[in-house]
Amino acid sequence: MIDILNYIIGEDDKSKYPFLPEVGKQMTGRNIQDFLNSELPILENAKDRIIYSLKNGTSPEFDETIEMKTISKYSFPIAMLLVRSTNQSYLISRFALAESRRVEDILHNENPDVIPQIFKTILNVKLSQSKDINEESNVTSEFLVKNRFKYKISLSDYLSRSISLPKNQWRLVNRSVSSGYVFLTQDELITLLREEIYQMIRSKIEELKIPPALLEDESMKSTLEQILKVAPRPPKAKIQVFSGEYPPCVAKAIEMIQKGDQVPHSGKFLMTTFLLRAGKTVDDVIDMYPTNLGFNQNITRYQVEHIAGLKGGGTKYDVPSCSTMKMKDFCYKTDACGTIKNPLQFNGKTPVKKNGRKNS
Amino acid sequence: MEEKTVNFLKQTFSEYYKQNKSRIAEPSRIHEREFGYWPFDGFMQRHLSVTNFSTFIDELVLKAPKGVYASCSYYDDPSLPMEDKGWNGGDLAFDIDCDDLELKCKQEHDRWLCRDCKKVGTGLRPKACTKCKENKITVLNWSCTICLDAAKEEIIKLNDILMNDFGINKKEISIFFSGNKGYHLTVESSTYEKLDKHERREIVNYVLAKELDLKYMGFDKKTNFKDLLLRLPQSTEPGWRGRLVEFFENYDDSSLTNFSKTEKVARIYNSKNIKFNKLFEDGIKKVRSTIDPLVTSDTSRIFRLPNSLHEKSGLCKTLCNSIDSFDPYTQSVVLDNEPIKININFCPKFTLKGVSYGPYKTQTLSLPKYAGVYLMSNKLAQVA
Ligand code: SF4
Ligand SMILES: [Zn+2]
Ligand SMILES: [Zn+2]
Repeated sequence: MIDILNYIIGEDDKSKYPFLPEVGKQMTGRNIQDFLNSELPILENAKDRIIYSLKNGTSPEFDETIEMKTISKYSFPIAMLLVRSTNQSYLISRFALAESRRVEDILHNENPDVIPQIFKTILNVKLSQSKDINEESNVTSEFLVKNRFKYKISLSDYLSRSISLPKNQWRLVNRSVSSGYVFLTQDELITLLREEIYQMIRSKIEELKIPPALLEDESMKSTLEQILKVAPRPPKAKIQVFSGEYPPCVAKAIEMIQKGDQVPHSGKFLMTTFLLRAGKTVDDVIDMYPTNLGFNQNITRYQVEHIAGLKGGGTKYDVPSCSTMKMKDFCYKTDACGTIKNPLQFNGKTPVKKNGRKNS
Repeated sequence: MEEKTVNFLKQTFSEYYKQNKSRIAEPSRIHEREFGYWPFDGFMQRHLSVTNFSTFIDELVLKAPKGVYASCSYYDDPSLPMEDKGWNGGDLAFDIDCDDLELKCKQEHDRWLCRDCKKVGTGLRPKACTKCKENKITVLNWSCTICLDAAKEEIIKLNDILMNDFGINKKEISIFFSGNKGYHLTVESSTYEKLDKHERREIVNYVLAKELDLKYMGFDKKTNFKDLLLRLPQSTEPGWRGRLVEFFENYDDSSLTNFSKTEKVARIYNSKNIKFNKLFEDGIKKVRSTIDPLVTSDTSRIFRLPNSLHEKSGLCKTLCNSIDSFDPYTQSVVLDNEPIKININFCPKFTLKGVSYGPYKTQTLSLPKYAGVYLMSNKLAQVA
């Protein structure tokens, strides 16, 4: 696998996509010390990179010199370690966001031959270049050229991602679909996968284990301090939550969202359905999310409106039951929950109305 | 319904299950599906898990329910309440009902009945009884060969979309006559079984061409004529783009015959005489498949078991091996022709096994069992 990668993704790509698996390999063990002690200003560069990213929400641009390329290739993993060491999810999110924007920019101009391999490696998404297989999907090459469709992705892979994209352009009905594939231009492909690129970079950082020796390193320590001194504070969410007001699972989801933690879909879904049922408006729910975090406020709005039944066909969703939440690993049961079946019953509130099920 | 009639129907259904045990095929992945049945006298029984199918059929002979169902969804434990079952996926299921197709023949064969003065009227339900002005009206949604042919056309279009657009293999698709007013289509495919409700909703909107945006079909008022010609799709293009353009290419307008196909479509789009939006809507209706939007996205539903009887007709849910030549009013008639005497209230004309019956006024008649049961199931007759 690595061999193939090295063949397709050359030296040059390692600095463009520093999160590719084999780049990480070079970072284990004492290598890190080597980088820190290197004559190149790697640590300095990592610090600049972080501060710029946190402040601007995008990554700095570096010169195209060979020396700079080498520096930035190695400074990225160091920057990841530094950001991880701050232990603040808000900073991790900001940095991951900036980094994913940079990657996006590069991908927009990337050679189409390399793109499927990159996505296969980093996100395990199977893509085909549509030019290779137009026969199998019953389309002509004129069709592909005219619409600038360079890729096709399987329908189910498409749906699981497009579902959270708000615009009409992403509805399946407005796409060219043939033989179980959806056709995409290069720009569309990157937009479709951007959230995942962001999440991938973010979890890469979160998963990092920091060697204890590294935290003792004086130069690391002082760099970290300098970063924390100038790092932006997380914005305050507009709605405050009092403990005991919400069932533990909902409170947990709110807390995670406001801290900028990565919240699983089931948690967001629970929080949204719950708050809507508790009489909050769509805008109230959107205000729960701190601003300037994650990708796109529009996506949050779309998702909340979708759950509220204002978008996507008007289905209104019920608050999931305790057993569902347990199954999804998002139940934080305390004694206060007692034997309730649905989070809505917390504190002796409204029993849940049973939904009439139909048969056809 | 009179007790005598209910007992007769129960007896008939029980005999059917007894004599046709082997006809009722065991569904795939039986341990993962939820089963249910609906007794003639009682509530729907759901959340049943079946381990031995032939024991289940024996139970049907005994209980003689009016409907038997199985889920399209697969669960860890189908016998638990809905939230606890543990959903693992499900067949894609589609339902087409001729009552949703706004057909003209409904005006002729549908009836309404005033429960107060017993007046029977033809066509759609009035706001109040035209004779006594009371609002105690029962509606008879009748169906005829025209209705079911129209439903068949929709199912054929659906089949085409599933195969061409979604790449579903013919072998993964089963089409059934529902036993009463339409068709069911199920897809058993590992590629699609995991789609969740939201994703199934996108499939529904696709099939219905709902929220289809002209802009993405190549039609854009902002472009000049030359750019429009470049942007309009070819009819060979996949999906809605190709289908819609083909519809416009075939639009009958003698003033446009001399133009190339694309130019014809562009001229229709820009024409001052043709109401494009109206034509576009007609086009959508012609090319889409009018499925029931709720059925496909609701993964908690259960569906009539193939080869079981439909309580509103006495016909059976039947697999259509070749849909084009399928004749529901012959191939799904499974009860015998032993004559039975019934009291008819009234009934529009109907055809079973190639023989037409009715229309009947209030009268007592001897009819083959399947025809008698058909009327009794429709609540238009009782055992005499
Ligand atoms: S028991 Fe129910 S309300 Fe309590 S934490 Fe778990 S899911 Fe939430
Ligand atoms: Zn009347
Ligand atoms: Zn009809």
